[in-house]
Amino acid sequence: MGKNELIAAIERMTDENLTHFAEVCHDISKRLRGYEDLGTAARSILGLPDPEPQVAEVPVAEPGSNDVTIELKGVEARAETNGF
Amino acid sequence: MLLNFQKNAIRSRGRVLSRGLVRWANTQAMCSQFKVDILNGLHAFGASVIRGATTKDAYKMALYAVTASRGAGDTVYNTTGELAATGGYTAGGAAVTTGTAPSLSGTAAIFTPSASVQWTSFTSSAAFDASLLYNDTSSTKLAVAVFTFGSQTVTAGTFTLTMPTNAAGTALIQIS
Repeated sequence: MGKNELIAAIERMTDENLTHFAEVCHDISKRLRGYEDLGTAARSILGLPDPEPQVAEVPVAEPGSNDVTIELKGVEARAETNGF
Repeated sequence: MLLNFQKNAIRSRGRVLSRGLVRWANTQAMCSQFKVDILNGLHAFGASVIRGATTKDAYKMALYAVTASRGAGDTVYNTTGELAATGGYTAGGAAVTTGTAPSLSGTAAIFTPSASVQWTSFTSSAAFDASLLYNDTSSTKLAVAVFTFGSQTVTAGTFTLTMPTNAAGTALIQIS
């Protein structure tokens, strides 16, 4: 659930649920110490399982990434005459 | 201030004396146009002249592995050390576009292919760091020049050899 969806859900809560939600928030705020982040604290307090670990997205090579371009350097021959 | 005839004299190897007179002088030199004519195949000091065609010749560039020994001693196209004919590479290399004829830049005769040489959908059979420019029209595939660059290994890509600016000091082939 995204932040905006959560706010929308809160706005739709009945007074009773909103009161309960506020109590949970207050409880979470009191127990934050020792938790890495708010999400971990909330899951622990509410007894929710840890989220599925996110699989790192494997970067896909863009077309042309293996292309190589090199500018050649010229060669020079010197033409000279010898005097008599 | 020099007068126009004095300026022209300087351009024509003359010298302007302190009295304003012009002294002409002969200068030993290889004629600049001769250098261009060499590139165009107009001279033949040798006893036997073998030309593949009366029109301009076709040229190719071949790629060589870092383990090859291409260099100034090459006389003809050599398959030793050339990349294998796999992965988008054809034995003998790729054609060179000769859309711009040899010309003079100052006193230097210059020639540079008019387009890049490119291998597409290319996977090199080995690390490579050199290309040989050779005459594909001549029966023996006469060598012209070897060009080296940093070691490359290409996998499923496009390998492009771009050409330098066609001017004195930078042209791909220069006789100065």
